[in-house]
Amino acid sequence: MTVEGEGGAIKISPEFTQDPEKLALALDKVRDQIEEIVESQIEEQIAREARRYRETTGDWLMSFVMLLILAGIIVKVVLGGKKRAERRAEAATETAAEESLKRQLAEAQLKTMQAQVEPHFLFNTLASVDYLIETEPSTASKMQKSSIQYLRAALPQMREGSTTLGKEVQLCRSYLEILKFRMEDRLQYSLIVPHGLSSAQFPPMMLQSLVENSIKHGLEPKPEGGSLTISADISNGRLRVTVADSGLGFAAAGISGSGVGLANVRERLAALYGGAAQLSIEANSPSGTIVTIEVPYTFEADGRSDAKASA
Amino acid sequence: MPTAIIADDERLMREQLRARLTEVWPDLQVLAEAKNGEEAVAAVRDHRPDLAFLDIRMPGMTGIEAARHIGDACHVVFITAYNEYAVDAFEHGAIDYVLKPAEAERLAITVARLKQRLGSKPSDLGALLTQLSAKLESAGGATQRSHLQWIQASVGQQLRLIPTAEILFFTSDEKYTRVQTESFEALIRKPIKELIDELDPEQFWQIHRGTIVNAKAIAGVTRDFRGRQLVLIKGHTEKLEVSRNYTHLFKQM
Repeated sequence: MTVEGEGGAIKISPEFTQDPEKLALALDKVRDQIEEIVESQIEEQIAREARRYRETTGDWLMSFVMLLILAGIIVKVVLGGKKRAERRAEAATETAAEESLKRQLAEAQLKTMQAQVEPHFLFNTLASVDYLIETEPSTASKMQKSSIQYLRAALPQMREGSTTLGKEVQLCRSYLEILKFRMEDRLQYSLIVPHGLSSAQFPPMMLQSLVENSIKHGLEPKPEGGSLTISADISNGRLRVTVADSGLGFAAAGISGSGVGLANVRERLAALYGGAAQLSIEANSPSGTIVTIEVPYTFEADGRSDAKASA
Repeated sequence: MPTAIIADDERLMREQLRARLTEVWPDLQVLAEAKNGEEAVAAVRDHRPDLAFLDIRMPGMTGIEAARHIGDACHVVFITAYNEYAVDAFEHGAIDYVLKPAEAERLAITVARLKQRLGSKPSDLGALLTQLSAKLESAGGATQRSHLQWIQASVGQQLRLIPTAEILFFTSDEKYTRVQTESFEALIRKPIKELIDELDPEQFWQIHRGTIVNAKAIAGVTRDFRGRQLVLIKGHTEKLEVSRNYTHLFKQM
């Protein structure tokens, strides 16, 4: 090895320029040496600076620093007790808030469970299928299929957290198909949900609650029936899902005041999203109700399976 | 020949009952079909049948209300798919009923009984019907919670339902009651006097003849220069006066 460092200049023997491997090794060595030199220079410089600093500042600084530390200790001792108490109080509040949130969520889930499949709906549907089997077997089969689809989707909805909008819309579609067989021309429905929103996350059984509410309080009790529309869009980065009907409206339907279904939806939204979700209820024109759920827009990474489910 | 009308809002159900009745009671003549309570009452008036088969859950007028209107004009038989509310009256045989889907064997039993009854005058079901409709209402689900959950109010051009939990306070404003939330105010016609009976007393406190406040929205209480207590509201600048009758609500513990 003939690498030399002299006065900052580094010479490389010509023999290395012919052998790239040797050259590389030599260069590494040079780099190490340069680093060493620079480091020692820096250290020296720092030591010099420190010496100068100590010389110019007097002893008063040392005593000032000591005083500061002492004062700090006193303040800490005095305030420590208060801070600890505050922290304990904060922790207690947090636990209480968390507990109450958990309880709300559990209650909301229980209510959803109870609201699963209304017996009246089930029995009436089965009675209709029974008659159709004798009179119109092919219609009976279609209705039966819708029922199976609906039950399959509605019953395992106990799973926690969220599902996708696509699955929820599919569930409502089966539900509305069944009701269409029964209510015939008293019910018109349409679903205007962009396919791209199928994978958007949405809490389970909530859309179904809104649709059921519209049917039960809005359209079923109205002798001439009416229409129901489910629509979804993105507005300001939020997912907005709307159920609009031309039924009796909340004034006549008597859901104002103590409407339980909608109150449950509101409580569940609050438990799941805090203030980040919204439920709004408006009168439709000329009659009926418009209910809108607004939640933060997030989507399931694996959107493919959902697209298949809602196809 | 005995005659009847059938009332059900679903065509399939009407057809099925008609088909089964023809099977087990070939003599029976179905004079008309109705799709709701009003039509049923009209059909009874127009056709004067011996029997009226009435579905309980029908739009507009329910089967029970229709039965009240029909009174003793004919014998009434209720149709039900699943009845969570009327089991007692039915099981005790006070009222005749048909279970959906109508099965021939089961219907035959009902028909045998109806044939016997046809000779006698229709009995007055008034008291029973009142009982039934009360059960129907409570099972309808709309009135399970006793306290108001929503306030129906006009906000600008729109009629909206405002959840009571979001309301900060109500104040009376001449003819109207003002409803204040964090983001908007609305006017309703229901006076404070009525509201206080319908709201949850745990959550809503009356602090003045003309003021109800949401306890969760109270930020604190202060006094003005005349020594009157004023309630401070979270997220709102207005201070609400506490009248002397209600100062006990804010006494120190």
